[in-house]
This record gives sequence, structure tokens and C-alpha cells, in this order.
Amino acid sequence: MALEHLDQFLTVIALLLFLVNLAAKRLNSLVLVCAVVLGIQIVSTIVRPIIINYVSPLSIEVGRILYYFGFSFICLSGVYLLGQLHAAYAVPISFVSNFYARILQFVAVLQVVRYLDRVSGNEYFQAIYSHSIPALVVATMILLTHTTILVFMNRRRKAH
Amino acid sequence: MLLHIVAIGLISLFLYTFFCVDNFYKKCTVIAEIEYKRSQVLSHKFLKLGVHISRLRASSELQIDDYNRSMQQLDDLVEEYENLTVKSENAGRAGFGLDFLRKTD
Repeated sequence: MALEHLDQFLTVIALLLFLVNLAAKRLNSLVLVCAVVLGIQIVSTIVRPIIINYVSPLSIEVGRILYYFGFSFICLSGVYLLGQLHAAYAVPISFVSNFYARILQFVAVLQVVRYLDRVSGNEYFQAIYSHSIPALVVATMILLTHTTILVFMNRRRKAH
Repeated sequence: MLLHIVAIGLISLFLYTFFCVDNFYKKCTVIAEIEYKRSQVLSHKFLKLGVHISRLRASSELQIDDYNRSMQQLDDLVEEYENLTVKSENAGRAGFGLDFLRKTD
């Protein structure tokens, strides 16, 4: 039950952290990562019900293709946007952005593997798919929150 | 049959995009590192030159040639630093409108 709301929870956390970092008026890698997380979460929230409610009832095969490949391309677009934003603002790429980019790449591969798994009818990856994605969402939340706290603690220490 | 062809096409497109995006991200990482190191090197040069000029000013016998040369170097450094800043600002302007953040940074 709680797993279903993890996505919304991540969206709220990303929005809050983005606003907190904006309020602190500092453009660093963490702000850019928060912006990308937020963008991906918003697009996913819009696209998911459209595919499930409107496309899948018409054709389950097309719905399946759109769902898995759509999310996979959203993830890769996230990695592209992350790199593009860092390059545009000449901000050094931090551990957080590297970690999140690798998460997105892993999820993109997992979506395609899961599609092949479902088409073949074996369902080998069902457990991995249904548990690894919530685990990665939790990892992202912890990472963003922890890094924001560290940044603010460091700033306070420097101010003293 | 058609769906299988579409799926194979999408898988090929996915693999192509995956490696393109991966290469792009790695390139961005390297460029960001170089820009960061360049700004670090410039700050270090500023500091060294600043110390040198203040020593020259403080010394009882002002070595005018050395002083002029150092001031020229300082001007060059300022120009180089401004070019770097302008480049970053232009890149930011071409970006996504978050420039106002940099002004107070």
C-alpha cells in the first residue's frame, strides 16, 4: 500500500528540496538534480494514467510497448537533461548527479528487459522489477535529503 | 508481426540512445571538471600574483620593471577570468532561465 504512494512522496520531497535550495539562492548540482527528479516525476504522473486508462483498453500490446519504452526514454531524457543543465550552467557534476544518472540508466535498461520478459511470458524479472524500482525511489529520497542537510550544515559551519 | 518489428526497432533505438546519452553525460562530466579546474587554477594565480604585488609595494626599494610586469600579468589574468565568466554566463543565458541564482552566488 505504502509502495503505491512512494512516487507521490518522492515528487513532494523533490519539490520541497528544490524550493528550499532555490530559497537559499545557490545554484549547485543538487538544485539541478532536484529539478530533473521533479520533471521526471511530473511527466511520469501525467503519462502513466493516460497509457493505463486510454491506450491499454484499446490494445494491450501497444499499451505495453508504450509503457515500457516510454518510461525508458523518459529516464534517458533525464540523463541527457542532467548533463545539459550542468554544461549550460558550468556547474561541476557532483556525486549526487552521477548517482542519479546511473539510477536512471539502470531503470531504463530494466524497463526494456521487463518488456522482453513479459512478451516472452516467463515473468523472471517480475520480482526484481516490482522491488528494485521502489528501492531506488527510497534511495533517491534519502540521497537528496541527506545531501541538502549536509550542504546547509557546511554553510552554517562556514558562516561561523 | 508488425508489433514485433516495431518492438525490435524500438529496442535498437533504445540501445543507440542509451550509448549516445551515456557518452554525452561522460563528456559533460569531463567538460565540467575542466571548467572547474580552470577556475581553481585562475584563483590560485590571482592569489600568488596578489601576494607578489603587495610584497613589491611593501619593499623599501620598489623594482619598477617587476612591478609593471606583474600589473600587466594581473590585467591579463582579469581579462582571462572575465572571458571565463562571460562564457559561463552566456552558456547560462542559453540555458533554462535560472540565471538570477548565479548573481547572488
